[in-house]
Amino acid sequence: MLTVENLNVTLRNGDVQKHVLHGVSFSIPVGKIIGIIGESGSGKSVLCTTIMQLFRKQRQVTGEIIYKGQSLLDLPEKAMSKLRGDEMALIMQNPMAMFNPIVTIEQHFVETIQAHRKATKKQARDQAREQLKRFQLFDEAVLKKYPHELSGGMLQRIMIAIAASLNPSLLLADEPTTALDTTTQLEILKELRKLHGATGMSMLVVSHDLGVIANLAEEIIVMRHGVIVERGTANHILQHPIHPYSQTLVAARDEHCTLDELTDHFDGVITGELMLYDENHWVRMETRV
Amino acid sequence: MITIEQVSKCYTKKTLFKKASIVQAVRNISLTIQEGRCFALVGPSGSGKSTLGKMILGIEKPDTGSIYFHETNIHQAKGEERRFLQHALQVVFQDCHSAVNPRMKVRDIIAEPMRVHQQLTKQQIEKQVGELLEMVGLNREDMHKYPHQFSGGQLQRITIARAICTKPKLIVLDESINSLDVLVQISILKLLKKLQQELNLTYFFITHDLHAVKLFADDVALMHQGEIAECIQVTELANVQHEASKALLAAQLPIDCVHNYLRDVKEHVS
Repeated sequence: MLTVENLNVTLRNGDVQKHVLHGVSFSIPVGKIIGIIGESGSGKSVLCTTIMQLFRKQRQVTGEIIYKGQSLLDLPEKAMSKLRGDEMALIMQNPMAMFNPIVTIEQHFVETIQAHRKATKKQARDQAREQLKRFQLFDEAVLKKYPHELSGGMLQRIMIAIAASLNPSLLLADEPTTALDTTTQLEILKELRKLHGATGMSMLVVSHDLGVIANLAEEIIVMRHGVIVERGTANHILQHPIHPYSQTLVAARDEHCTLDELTDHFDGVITGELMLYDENHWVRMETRV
Repeated sequence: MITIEQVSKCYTKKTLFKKASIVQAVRNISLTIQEGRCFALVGPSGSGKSTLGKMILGIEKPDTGSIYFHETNIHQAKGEERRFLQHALQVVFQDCHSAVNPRMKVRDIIAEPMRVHQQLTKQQIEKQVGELLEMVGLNREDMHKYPHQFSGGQLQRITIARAICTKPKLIVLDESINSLDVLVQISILKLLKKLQQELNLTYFFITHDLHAVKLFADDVALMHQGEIAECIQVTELANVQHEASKALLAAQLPIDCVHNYLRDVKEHVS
């Protein structure tokens, strides 16, 4: 479905250049959920936005991203923006920041649907209503509400519903539950699994929480410092992690591990200082493991 | 050390056109926090955890009931007593980026509580700030940098340094590690544990992450809709009784649930 091959991404900001992804290759088969786990600054989000071909101007990308036989890197912007939303959808981390605060939830649906489909306002509204019903979300009253009237968990569920409203065949979820609390997190994960079960869409789930990844993904990719350090089926990685970083992540989730054991264990795993590249974006000074 | 006696707190939510509604954030809570221990308060968002934390700090006033630090009523203290409490009770918030002034250098951020409470020369301040930075695992030279030059984990260390500079007795950790990376979380927990031993601190640890609680805390209170559902020791966490606490435990994601999920799917297909 989606094949990423030898992807190198360099971010440019004025004179500063930062190599963020090094030779990343993986593929997402049809109907599978792939999980990417890594710490802040490991290039997870850059990978997602590069696949979506956002921020094209600020990035120097080499390698190949092939989606259903067409190379996304060569695709003109117009064709690409048709693919976005229609074929691939992206869910971002902070649901509160992703909605327009002065527009109702219904408007968000209508805008998305009308951008990609020929539909009158009424048809789009009906589709929004259907979509809510399909996810057994809430009653229709929620459509008339503004983002600030809803909680983070509800907004994230609505975000998933909007992303799914055009039936994309690939969903990229970039830290879908990081901004939410544990009980809400569980509900969002359920929602994503339900969506996967109902539509069979492929998903790429990105998180720094092994619990989230283990809950969703069948295959796991472990990233660190912009390089894939380990990959395999979920069961295998969770039971026999090889790279010290994945070992630490698994150990950190172990019920019986004490704090002292953990810190002795990961002493030295965190290496290389983080430095600020641009606003809210951290990269490693040491670019290679 | 801290005794909370039947404390309740309501917020009035005012809206422009509708009638004001009353939200009961904390309902009749009684607790004791023992000296030298880490007391964890766990609950879903909106269960009143932070409100209770703020009342312990004296930022919010309870509607009924009272909170004592040793023998002193936190909300009725005046003059010298009040100043002592300001030293003794400190806080580290969740969002470290908004907890510091972006226009101030790290030195001034950490020194601000010192300047308020003590008369110190510039040299004394720099010396103390340097020592504090080293205590939290940063470099002395970092004091001349601005907050945006640090990552979330480093900035959280700076807010911890600011919290310990008045030599507090109790630190309220209000979701202090939740927005950080897993490994950074562990390193911050380790730092807090080290400081607890060195400075004989007591922690009031507000979180919704039971995993961190298991690693870090001694006592746990599980909170649900403004009430304490249960108050137990960490070791007994596996056998909680209350429905709400069971739900909270069930929401923790064990890393082996993918097996169950795949099994469910297979059953569903067949």
